[in-house]
Amino acid sequence: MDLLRIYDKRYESRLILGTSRYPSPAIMQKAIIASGAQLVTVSLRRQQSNLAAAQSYVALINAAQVDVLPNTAGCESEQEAITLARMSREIFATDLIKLEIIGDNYTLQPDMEKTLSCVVKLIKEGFKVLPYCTDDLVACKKLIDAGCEVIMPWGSPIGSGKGLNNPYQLAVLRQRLPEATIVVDAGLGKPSHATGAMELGCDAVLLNTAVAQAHSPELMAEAFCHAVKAGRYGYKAGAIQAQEFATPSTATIGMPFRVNE
Amino acid sequence: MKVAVVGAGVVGRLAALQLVNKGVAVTLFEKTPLSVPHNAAHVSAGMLCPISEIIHAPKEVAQMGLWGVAQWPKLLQQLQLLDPQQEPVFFQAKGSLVVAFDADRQCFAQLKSDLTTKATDYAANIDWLTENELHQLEPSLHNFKQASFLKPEAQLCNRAFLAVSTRALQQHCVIYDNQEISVSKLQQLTGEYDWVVDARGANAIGQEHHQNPVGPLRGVRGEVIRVHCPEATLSRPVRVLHPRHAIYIVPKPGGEFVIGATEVESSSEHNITVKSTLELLSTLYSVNPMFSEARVLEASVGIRAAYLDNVPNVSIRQRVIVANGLYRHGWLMGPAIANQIVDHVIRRESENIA
Repeated sequence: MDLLRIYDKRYESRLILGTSRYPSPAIMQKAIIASGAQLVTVSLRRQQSNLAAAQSYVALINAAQVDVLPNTAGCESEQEAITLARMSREIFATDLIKLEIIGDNYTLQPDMEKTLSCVVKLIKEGFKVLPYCTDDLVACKKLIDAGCEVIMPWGSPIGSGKGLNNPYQLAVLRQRLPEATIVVDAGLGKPSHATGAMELGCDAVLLNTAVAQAHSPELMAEAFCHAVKAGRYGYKAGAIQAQEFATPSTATIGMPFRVNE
Repeated sequence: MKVAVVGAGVVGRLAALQLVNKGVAVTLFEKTPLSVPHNAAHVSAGMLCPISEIIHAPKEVAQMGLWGVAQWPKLLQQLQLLDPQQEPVFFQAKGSLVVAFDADRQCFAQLKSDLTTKATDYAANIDWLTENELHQLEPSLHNFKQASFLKPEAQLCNRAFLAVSTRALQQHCVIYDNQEISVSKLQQLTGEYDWVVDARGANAIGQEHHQNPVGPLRGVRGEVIRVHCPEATLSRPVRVLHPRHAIYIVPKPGGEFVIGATEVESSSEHNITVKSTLELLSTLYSVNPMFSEARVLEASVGIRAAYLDNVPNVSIRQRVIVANGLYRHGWLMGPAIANQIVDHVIRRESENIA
């Protein structure tokens, strides 16, 4: 069976869904179901000052009966991210952590130097780290050398909905890092963006705003569910090479001579 | 007939006052002193924004909200008559504006797409203002190039309502304030009263009278800052869109402004955080630097109780009417919810007599 590999876990679904910015928790729950996601990402950053008071929020996420991938969204320093990672591990009883250390406040581009340094520290503490990263091949290689089995390069800036800014670079990552699980994280807006990422051979996509802020989050979640599958099947099936000329798909019986206009 | 109302937030107060108007003997229980409210009603900005809620909330919320906006002037008139000092409560229906900085113009495009898709029934109530039209309507918004003018939206002075309703309730009801009512005490009250109205709001989180299908109740933390800036002029509430934190600025009587409100999935009441303070005040300052010398009066935190669908709910079991989950729509949905409570009490009573 064609399963997504996230460290020691295996998932049928290749869509990881975020849990922020839905109109209501009820709509979020419906969207999770419609998306078919088996892994959802959750941020505790704004709840950390009083965890006891966030119990109902944690219960809500746990009620969705999917695995939780805690994240360090919005952190700008290693120490912040490490504190949040430790806290999230305790709350959600998982070693998985999506590491996000922001280096630029406007584009929310990750700081790769701090991310790499933090990955080393978190792995020492036994975390299974999924770093949010740029699509820089060398930076990604260093993350993998440091022990990451999964990398999460951006499609475009978080929440921008611009899709894949540099498909060529994602294809390079796939080609040069065949063993890594590549999850395109951030910037997807339309289902076709997800299909595109999957067609390039990425292993999964992570998205949030595209579903949460759609006019109908539930329907959009379903759309992405199909889009991710379509892209994956397309990749596995082996697409034909694009040609510079037309090739008739039906045999040219009845046309005794080739017409050269 | 005797009715106990537990909780003196918007719903508890409106229900008590309406029952008084119908000649019902009302006893009001409240956790804090009635004259020193410690609840979301006190913290909030008193906005009545049914149209902007259409984007996130189901249609019935907008419908009940529009009905509520239409009821408020009448309710405030009735309240004035019940107040021994006959003081009016500030209310205005001059609409509200939604704007976005040029850098965030995509947010404005999103708003336009959301409103034109979801608010088709209310298209006549929404004007899309050009730069000139906006500057004429609200000169201090000269940093913005376009706006959405939501004409049926309104606002009231939440604190004046609390002060006036406190006097009116003290005059016309039996008050037991400074009393926390547990679930068992709530049940016990049904032995002494014909009906018990459970309008405890956020105090019912984790201590609900009965399970609700859209439950459990949860807390959504909101932080607001109140400033005094008599030199600033703004005649109506303004909502400033932003990809990460949309913020409203609401003018209040006496040169005060309320800037709010964050939304955090938590029922913690700890003081406002640095991040939230920065979000709120930097938006205020960017809207117009005239706010740079505004004096910060207070930064407050309120917990809004919400069900999973963020829609208010009234449910009845064993002569206890539970009304809760008004989320951030307390003032907007209060009249409709109070009306449901009163209708239920009166209808059941007339059925019993028949």
